[in-house]
Amino acid sequence: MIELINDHAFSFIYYVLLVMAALTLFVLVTTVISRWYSERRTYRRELLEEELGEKIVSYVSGDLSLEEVQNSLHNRLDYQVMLKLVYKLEKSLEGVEEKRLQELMEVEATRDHFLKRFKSDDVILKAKACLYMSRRKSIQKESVREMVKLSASREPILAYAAATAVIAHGSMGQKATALRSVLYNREISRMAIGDLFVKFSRYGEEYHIREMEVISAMIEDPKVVPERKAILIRIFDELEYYHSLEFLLEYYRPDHPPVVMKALINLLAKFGVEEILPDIHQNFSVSNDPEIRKAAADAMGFFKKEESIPVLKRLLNDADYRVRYAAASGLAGYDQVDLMGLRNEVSDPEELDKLMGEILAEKGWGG
Amino acid sequence: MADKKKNILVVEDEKMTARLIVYRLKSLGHDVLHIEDGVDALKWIKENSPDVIVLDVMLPGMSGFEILENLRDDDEFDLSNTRVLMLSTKSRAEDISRGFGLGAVEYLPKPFKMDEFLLRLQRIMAENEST
Amino acid sequence: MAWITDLLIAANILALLYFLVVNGSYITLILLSWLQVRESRRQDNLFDLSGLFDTDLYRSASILAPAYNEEISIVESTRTLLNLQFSNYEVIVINDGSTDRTLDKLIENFDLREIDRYIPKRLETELVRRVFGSKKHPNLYVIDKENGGKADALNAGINASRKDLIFSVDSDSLLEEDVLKRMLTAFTLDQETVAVGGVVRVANGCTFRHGVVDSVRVPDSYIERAQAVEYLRSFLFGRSSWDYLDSLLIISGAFGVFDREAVIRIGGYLTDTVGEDMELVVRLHRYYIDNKIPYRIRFLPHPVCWTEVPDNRKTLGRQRNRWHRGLADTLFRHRKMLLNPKYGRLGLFAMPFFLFVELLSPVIELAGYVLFIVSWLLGVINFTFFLLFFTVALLLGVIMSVLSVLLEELTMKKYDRVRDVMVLVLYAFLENFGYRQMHVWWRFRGLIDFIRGKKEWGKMVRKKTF
Repeated sequence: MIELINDHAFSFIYYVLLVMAALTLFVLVTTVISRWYSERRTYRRELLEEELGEKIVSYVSGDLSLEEVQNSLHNRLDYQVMLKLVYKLEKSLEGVEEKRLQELMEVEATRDHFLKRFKSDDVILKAKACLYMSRRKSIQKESVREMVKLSASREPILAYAAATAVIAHGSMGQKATALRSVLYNREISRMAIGDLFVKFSRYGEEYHIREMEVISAMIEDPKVVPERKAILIRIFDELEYYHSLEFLLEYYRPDHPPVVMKALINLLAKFGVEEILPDIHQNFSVSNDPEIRKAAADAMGFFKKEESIPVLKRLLNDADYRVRYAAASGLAGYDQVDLMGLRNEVSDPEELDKLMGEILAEKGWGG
Repeated sequence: MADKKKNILVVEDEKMTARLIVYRLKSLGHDVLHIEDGVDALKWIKENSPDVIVLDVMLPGMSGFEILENLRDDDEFDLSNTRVLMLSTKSRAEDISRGFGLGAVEYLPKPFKMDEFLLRLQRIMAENEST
Repeated sequence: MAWITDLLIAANILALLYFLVVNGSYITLILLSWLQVRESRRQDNLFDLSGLFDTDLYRSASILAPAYNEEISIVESTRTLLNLQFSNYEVIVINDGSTDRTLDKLIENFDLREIDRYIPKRLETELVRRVFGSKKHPNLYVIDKENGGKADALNAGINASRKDLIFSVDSDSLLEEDVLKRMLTAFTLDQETVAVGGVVRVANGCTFRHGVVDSVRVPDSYIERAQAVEYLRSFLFGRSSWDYLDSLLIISGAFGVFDREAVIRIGGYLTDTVGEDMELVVRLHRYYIDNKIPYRIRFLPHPVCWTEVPDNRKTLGRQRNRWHRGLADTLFRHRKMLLNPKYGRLGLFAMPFFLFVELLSPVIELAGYVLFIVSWLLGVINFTFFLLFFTVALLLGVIMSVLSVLLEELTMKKYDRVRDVMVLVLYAFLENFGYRQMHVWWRFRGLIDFIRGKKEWGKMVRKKTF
């Protein structure tokens, strides 16, 4: 082999150099072409954004009719640019303006464009089509059923996007099915889940009675993992579903998994359910799970009952810093507790000073 | 007197929203200027003292809060002649109270209704008149 | 004497094979990265549409900025950090016992005053002396602690953090304003994500305005330009391809977001290594695989951090020496993972690649140079063969770099002018004459220093681009 290489080395070198030259030439030509192309496209886009932007703005303000805007849309690029501008504007607007924007999305050609995407096998294109559907004023029943199926997809993006569309347009039963599919999918992040439930609530009726029932059924669903149940309980809190109290009281049992228990304690305390205090004193404050002990301390700080003081004092020496913090924070809210005197109760008075300093500063009493 | 011509600066980095606001305000007959960048906006405000500023919070270069702080700390600038309406997606209570604390007279969370925006703007311009 | 000839011939062929395999795999990786970058752009697009970022349900983040004697740049860099587009974050600057006016500058410019803030000692660190808060910026905290090195400072920051995620940044870097939002897409996309890295690009030559990149240009000097090409090749496309293979082993210290609880669970940054960034990522992998917990560690090609690279050989040499020591140290500490089927593609592919290609390449490349000269002198191979080897080596090197420049041009198009792209293509050639050999030498020295047990960081000298 060496001989072979030795003999033909010069021709090898010649070829290698040739390849390099060709490669460079290729890169140079590709670069120039792709630059030229992209710059031309950017230029056209910018021009279009300027033009269409002007039209959309006057359309939204009621100075231009829908037909007039439609007449200026001719090719795919026009629709793309128009949708981009509409989406951006829609994010900051509500009310009449938002409705007008939605009407713009109903333009026939746009709809066709997305329906085609909807039929493609590409996950991202499909998801985009779903998001588009979710923003329309109304969609066909057929499409909603299709979306319900898609919300059970393994692909988190697609499932999320499809569920968004179902929440916007589906019946209560369809919404519940889509949300359940999403809850069962372990890969979907809790941010996405939270977002879906906020949307679910926003599209709901005034008092959210049925929304509350749907969520309650999910909390009781044994197929939903505890982490997700905790998220659902927190959603009651975030969305201020006070009428969920009755359900929560019924659901409340001290032997739920720790994550669920923690969320329950937090919410029941917030709703002022003093009936859980005995459990807090006897069970939760001595739980093996620091998160539960913390939730217990928070709750006692919330209720401010005389009989909680010794328990809170004990928790000041807890092994977990979050519990110590919550206990100190709780005690700081009791008028009858001598905060300086607490220094004698703890093993690390200096740490307590730091804790109290921060807590009091946050409450607006200190420095 | 509320329909008297005013000098309004719109500081907003989302182009379409800014264009819509500018369009509506211009059609009401005001003098409107739009600036996207926080630092440029601050400079312009100091030189021109507009009657009203429509201010976003998240901006390139410098945030809306920082602009207000800067104006407050600048001894040569008198913020009392300028009314500030904040318009932002930052709508948590602490953001809103921070805005008011820094001298804004209105804080409108996004998404907003155009009518409401114009109404509040009219109101603060009227207040401006009476002081 | 015949056996020497045979041996040399065998060695030559082996060296050639090693070369082909290494470069071939690099080229494959770069091509894979293309798929990844394209896919990731489409996903980004989708995120913009979904409105997921417009809610407050997002996970919160603490930005940790360790500072040691940074009085020139600290105010500017902190200011940019305070102006990122994100709803729920705090900035924690950790003054790691600076001996200059770093802390004073911060106090003067941000109206700081001492506050009580409880810092639990979840990770062991040097003593924290004071904590400052700012009236002007409610989300800015400054921690003043005794000097303990960068990893120790980061650990102190982790202790002080009250948010879900920690985001470590370097003071000689400048983040684009939307980075936090973009980095978080990975956490939103997949519930099991625990760490995400972003792209580090060369800031030298670019201009900045109010802490935002204004124009993207190539730098002026040979050494900086060669690095511009190198950063594209290894940081942008190299890491994208590792992400494609789901085996990312490094997240730059300058630019990574981590789940705070995950980092605490594995004990935080190691303080007795110079490669704490890579070590942390490898340890995360190890922890999650050992405990059979599903997880993801991602690299995203779109969030960008601009960093100032050394403009002289001395500083660059020290930096590369340190990087190589860090690599050696990490691979040595986690040698159990090497070729261990329990660690799947990490143990069977990524770790061996880093060992044989990244770590040992300077040794093999140097040995190759010596081998060829000896073979040539002994007449085993003739001069043309010698020349041939170098042209092939050059060709492969050029292909890798030129491909990276091409991909950059096809996907990101960050550089404003075609002229700059041409310069980069030119430097894809030129870096092979001089820069490459220096690089081999620095890394070789780094390996020697590692074996001798050297632990220092080596002083970094900054110039001021921002």
